Amino acid sequence: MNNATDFASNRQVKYCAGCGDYAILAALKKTFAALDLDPRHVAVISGIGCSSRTPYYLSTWGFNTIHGRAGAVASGLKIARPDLSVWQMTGDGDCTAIGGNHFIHELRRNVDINIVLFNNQIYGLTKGQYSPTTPQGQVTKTSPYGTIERPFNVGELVLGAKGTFFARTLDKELKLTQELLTASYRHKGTAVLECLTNCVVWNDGAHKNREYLIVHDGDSITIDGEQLIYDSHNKALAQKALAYFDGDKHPMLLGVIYQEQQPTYEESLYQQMQ
Amino acid sequence: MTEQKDVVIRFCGDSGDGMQLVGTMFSNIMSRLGYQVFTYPSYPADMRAPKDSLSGVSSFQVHFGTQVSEPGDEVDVLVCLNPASYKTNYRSVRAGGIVIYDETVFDARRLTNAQMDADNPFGELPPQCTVWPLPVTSQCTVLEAAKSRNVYLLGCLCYYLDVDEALVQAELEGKFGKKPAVLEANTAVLQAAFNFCTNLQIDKCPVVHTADKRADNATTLTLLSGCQAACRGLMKAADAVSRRLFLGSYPITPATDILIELEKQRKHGVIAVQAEDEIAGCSMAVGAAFGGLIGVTSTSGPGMCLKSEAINLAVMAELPLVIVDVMRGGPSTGLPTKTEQSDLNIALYGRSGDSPLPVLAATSPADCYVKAYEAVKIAVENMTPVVLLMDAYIGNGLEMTDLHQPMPTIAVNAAWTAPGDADTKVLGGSEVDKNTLTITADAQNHIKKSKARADKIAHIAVPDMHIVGKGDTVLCGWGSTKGKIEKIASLLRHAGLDVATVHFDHLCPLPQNIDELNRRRRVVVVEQSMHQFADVLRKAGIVPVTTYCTLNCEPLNAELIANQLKDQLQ
Repeated sequence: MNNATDFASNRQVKYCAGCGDYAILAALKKTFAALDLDPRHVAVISGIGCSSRTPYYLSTWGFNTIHGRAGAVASGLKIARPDLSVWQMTGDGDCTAIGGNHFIHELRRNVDINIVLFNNQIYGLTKGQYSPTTPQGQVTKTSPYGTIERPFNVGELVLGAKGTFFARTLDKELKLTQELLTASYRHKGTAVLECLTNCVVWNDGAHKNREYLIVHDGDSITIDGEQLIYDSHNKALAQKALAYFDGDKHPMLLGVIYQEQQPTYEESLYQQMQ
Repeated sequence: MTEQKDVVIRFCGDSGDGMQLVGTMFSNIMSRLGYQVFTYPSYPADMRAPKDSLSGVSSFQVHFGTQVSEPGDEVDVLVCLNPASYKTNYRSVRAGGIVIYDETVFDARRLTNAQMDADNPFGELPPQCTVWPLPVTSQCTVLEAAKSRNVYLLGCLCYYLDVDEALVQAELEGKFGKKPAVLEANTAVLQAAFNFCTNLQIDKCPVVHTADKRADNATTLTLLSGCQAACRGLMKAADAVSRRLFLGSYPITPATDILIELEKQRKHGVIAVQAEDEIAGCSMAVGAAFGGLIGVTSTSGPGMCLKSEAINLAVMAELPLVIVDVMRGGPSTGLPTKTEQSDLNIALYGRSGDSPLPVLAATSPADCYVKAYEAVKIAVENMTPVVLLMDAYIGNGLEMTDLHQPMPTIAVNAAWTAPGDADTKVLGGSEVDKNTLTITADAQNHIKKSKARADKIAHIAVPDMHIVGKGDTVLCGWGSTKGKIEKIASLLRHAGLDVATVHFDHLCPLPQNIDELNRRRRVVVVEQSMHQFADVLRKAGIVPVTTYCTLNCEPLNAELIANQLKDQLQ
């Protein structure tokens, strides 16, 4: 299997015209092809939402499960079948609202799953309600007076839950997305790739008026006047950078932001079974 | 078109074409004219299917006239914005009906894509139908208002129905007043539509002159969807007992409108919280009830599954709670935008242990107001969670609702105390001693408590069942199918079959006089589930019960069912 087209299913792709999900889907197919994966051994698990329609558009195995529970189903699958390449498609609502509990335990457990989190900062499929990543004060269908809660910073959540890999990309950055999907695949453990996607119908331009900074290990960055060399293996630095480069007063960070090596849940479990 | 007392119009088009908006505007206009109105919107499940695709068709049906209690089966006037919508809807047009369509987009390419015969696109219509082409897209393009095609069609339709242009303009101002550029464009389009019809001297529809109107409609009735009416009922009940209303909920089709509606009522003192998930929504409502507020949660089938444990907590702790389930096609994710009546089982039985609770079912959009109020009443008088069943059909359908009708008084149970009161209590989900309220595993106590919980529900006063008609055969339904079943019975009577009808809106407890059904020769249950209600009747000792069950995903087709039952019942 060498072509991206080999990973397309024969179903019509039904994302809205202009949706950022098209870019992520394209990057997924290119990545699978470049990694020479066999669709028979790839399982794409999703919850409920526009993000979660993705399994239908790939020629791999897929399971469109229930709202928020993709992480639990994917964990069960990977632990049962460590031979498979397991990918989880989820959204900001699906993952950090109803899926929040499963998310933090999946991270703590460190099952080798590649999570692709489509963050459009809104509930798209159900037509425009706010999500846990919607900026504070934004007026939406269910926040006519503006949202009250402060939103999650997905990266901070991942680190707080003992996550071993966090990366972030933007739908427009096709090459970066491919690069980071590949890095997620290569990471042994739960990898979270937050994709900032544009919901053209319910939250158009949410990621537009922001500056971005793509970072790689070895790059020079400046935090509060202090010049530092970026090292994604440095947790304290990653936490500092996530908070500082938040896309508000400073550009938002893109790239591999944090990674560490830890045994995966399934390798330890299978060892206990010897 | 011959004279008739009521008319069924169906707007249909691509899901991005504004069918829901134009249908709602038309409904508002007709209700302001004094007609009774009952609507049925139909949405595709996909967010946005490819443009002009057969799976992306959205429609909105409006039945207006003197006495309307359902959206109608056959369509008198089909208004189509593209070939795909015609293809998906033409079978509903009755003989002698009319098809109004945007001729600009009925081109060879779109016709072929919609699997229609480009040479004879309307060949499959029943006899004596008229087709009326309108230059909608070309006119709107000239006006640089390509997004206002729906308004152009609205204009032509209103002209045809002899509706004053000023009334339509007023509706546009109401809807688009806050967006002057949009209002300006739509006004120009409306004028162009009326000018076109005037210039071509289009005949007016004769129906308008024969349908009686209710003069008092405009002032005493409000056009609401079932979800909106339910919100008003909940608010009215909370007002009646001088307690705040608290909604804990989560987005889920087709119940989200309840959350959206109540979020808007902050200035009226209503608390509405979008929780992180279904369980949290219900648990928050339980918390609010513990605090002495009117706790409500709203959802659909999948959420009912999730809320089971939290509802059970309220059963054991004997707290008032209202759970509104706007049913959709199941099981699991099922068919989110399609209507069904298949959550009766989970409402009645879907909790662990012996866990009875009252179950109500609204019979129309307007009845959602009455039943939501009653759900609160039963909850706070009996200290129990109550499930109110609605469905996508009446949840989304519009009907004129009387928000000024007298409502029964509510006598809040004296046992409902809350933090702030001097006599502190510790509630919980564990079984506690009947008298001391301490946790105990004593069997005798458990037996007494379980019986008490069951008796509490069994003794809730429920109106007697009322069989209409003396016929040997009783057509029986529950919930949203009331209007449709009455129509089926009426059609059968026209065909010479003397059928009686009975309709249930209290599913637990059942009416005390339910035995009367056994005095008739035949009971035929018509429902949109796999005989869930029929099984309830059988369990209650009604024999024999035959069924007409359909999971047709749409409101019942009264004509079709009457025809099928006719042979069965001869």
